[in-house]
Amino acid sequence: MKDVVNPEVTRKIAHLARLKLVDGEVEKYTAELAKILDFVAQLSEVNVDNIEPVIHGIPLEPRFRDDEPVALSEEETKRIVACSEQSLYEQYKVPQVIGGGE
Amino acid sequence: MEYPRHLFKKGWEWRALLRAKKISAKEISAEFLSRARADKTNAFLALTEEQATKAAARADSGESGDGALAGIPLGIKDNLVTLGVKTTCGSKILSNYVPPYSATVVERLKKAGMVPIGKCNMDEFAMGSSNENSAYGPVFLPQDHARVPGGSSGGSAAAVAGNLSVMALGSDTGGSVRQPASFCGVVGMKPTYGRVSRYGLVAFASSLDQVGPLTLDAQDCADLLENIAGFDPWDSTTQEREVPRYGRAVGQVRTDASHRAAFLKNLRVGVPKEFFAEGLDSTVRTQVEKAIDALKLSGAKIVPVSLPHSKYALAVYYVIAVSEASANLQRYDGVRFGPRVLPNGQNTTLEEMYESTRGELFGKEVKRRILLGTFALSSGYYDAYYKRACQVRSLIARDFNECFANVDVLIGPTTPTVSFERGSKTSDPLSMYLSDIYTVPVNLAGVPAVSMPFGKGEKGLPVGIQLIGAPWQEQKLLETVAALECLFDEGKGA
Repeated sequence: MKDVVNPEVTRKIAHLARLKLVDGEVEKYTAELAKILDFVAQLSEVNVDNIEPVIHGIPLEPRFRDDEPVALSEEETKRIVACSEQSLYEQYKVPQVIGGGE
Repeated sequence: MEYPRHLFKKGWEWRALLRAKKISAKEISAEFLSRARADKTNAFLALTEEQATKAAARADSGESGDGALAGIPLGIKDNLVTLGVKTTCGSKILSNYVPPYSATVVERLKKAGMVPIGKCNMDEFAMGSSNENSAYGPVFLPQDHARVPGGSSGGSAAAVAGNLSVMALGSDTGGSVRQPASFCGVVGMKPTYGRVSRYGLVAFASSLDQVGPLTLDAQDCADLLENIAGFDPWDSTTQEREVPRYGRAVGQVRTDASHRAAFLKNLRVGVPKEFFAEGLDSTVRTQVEKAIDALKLSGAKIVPVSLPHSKYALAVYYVIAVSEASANLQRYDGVRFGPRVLPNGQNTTLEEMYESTRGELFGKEVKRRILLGTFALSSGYYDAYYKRACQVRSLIARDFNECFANVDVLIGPTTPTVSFERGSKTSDPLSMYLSDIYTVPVNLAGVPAVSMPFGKGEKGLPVGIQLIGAPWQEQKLLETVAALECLFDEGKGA
């Protein structure tokens, strides 16, 4: 698993994660990720043949409720929308995404 | 009215004074708020004086009932959302977030009559082991301001250890309650995964996160756990199991010597050899050995055991936790909460807003983990990293199960060393991660564990002992902690 990270890979994953990295950060993170992945590489020595991957350490009973919409009060809606820096008519306002382009 | 000048009273001691009308909740609240205002350790990010005053009045009027927690001050880690009270998660990306609801655990403790002193400082998004990753400045160890209180619930642990609050809530993903409890010399617990609701806990790694108490002793820990545990319709991972009367069970061990002696005689304690490997500070080792000897002398059966896959736990953790974090933290994009960064003003595109907001407002440890998680989950690497880590996690959990077929609890150190100096590990992420080497396997296995203070180590700093229980056996675990506290008080830890 060695040498899997290089500046190009770091730039690619930063884009996937929508993280803008500034000058110097690409190199810094590339070196740190390489070191951590090198540490993680010890997992390749474990025999995992026929071992089921688990997402929890202990068995859990999954619980489902009926998928029914819950109405919010006007007050609750206001409080939720108020968490956004920009809103309009109780909707989130974001930069234009459709049209207006080249 | 007589005012007790003895500080460091436990919650149950304050309750006795409240019941005897020797003091009012209002007076207790005022005292702790004034101490918190004068705090020099940066344990709190915000004080909630208005809420505290109201809660104290409710407790004094009898409106909150006569439970174990009525009128008792509480610190709340800043990743637990609080209706109308800013919740920053130690991050700039939530610097202006005022939640529209409260976490289930916060609601339950409000009903129990607790008095919220304030929101506790923490490593950003609970990522860190020293509290140096808070966007609002580090927390100092109350006993030595040049040292760290541990993390990520460093503010919660420092608030209890510094007597700024009687109890506190933290969250534990890889040791974030137990490790700071160990450094600060208080009791800290991670319950069984699914025991306590995570609704309103800002998600870091959802399969590992669990809310837990930080207190001065086992009795307070039991009382707090009893009030936050149990099924919550808003968290589908909480289980519909009966919540035992932890407080009563611990009270019996604490106050009834013959009951305690019988409990210890029937106790089987496993000592995992992997927890005494290279890197363990000798003064920490000595304290753990004293605890084991004390248990043995009291008739407990000491059983050598092995957790052969626990040496892989940190590597597994740093794949699984970061993978889950990279998904959970996608929601911070400037749209629904937090400030927005618009590098080109009105002409900024949506994509630029996402990237700049996240790039500028997340701290470096959070960015490192998001990158690592995105990498581990990305096409071509998923099987080699994430899937393999989930397979090894299965083996780690199996090791614990096998041990608990023969013993009731496991014992070992909480951390390899006592608190370290600020700045001594910040340049090397891996050396910082090693601080959680004994706590991380517990989260991966989902089992409950407690760190309890047991004397002093290097430079007179607190040493924490970790006791680990079988799934859902928090009662046995807390009874063991209470019994060990009594043995320590009898002079067995000095």
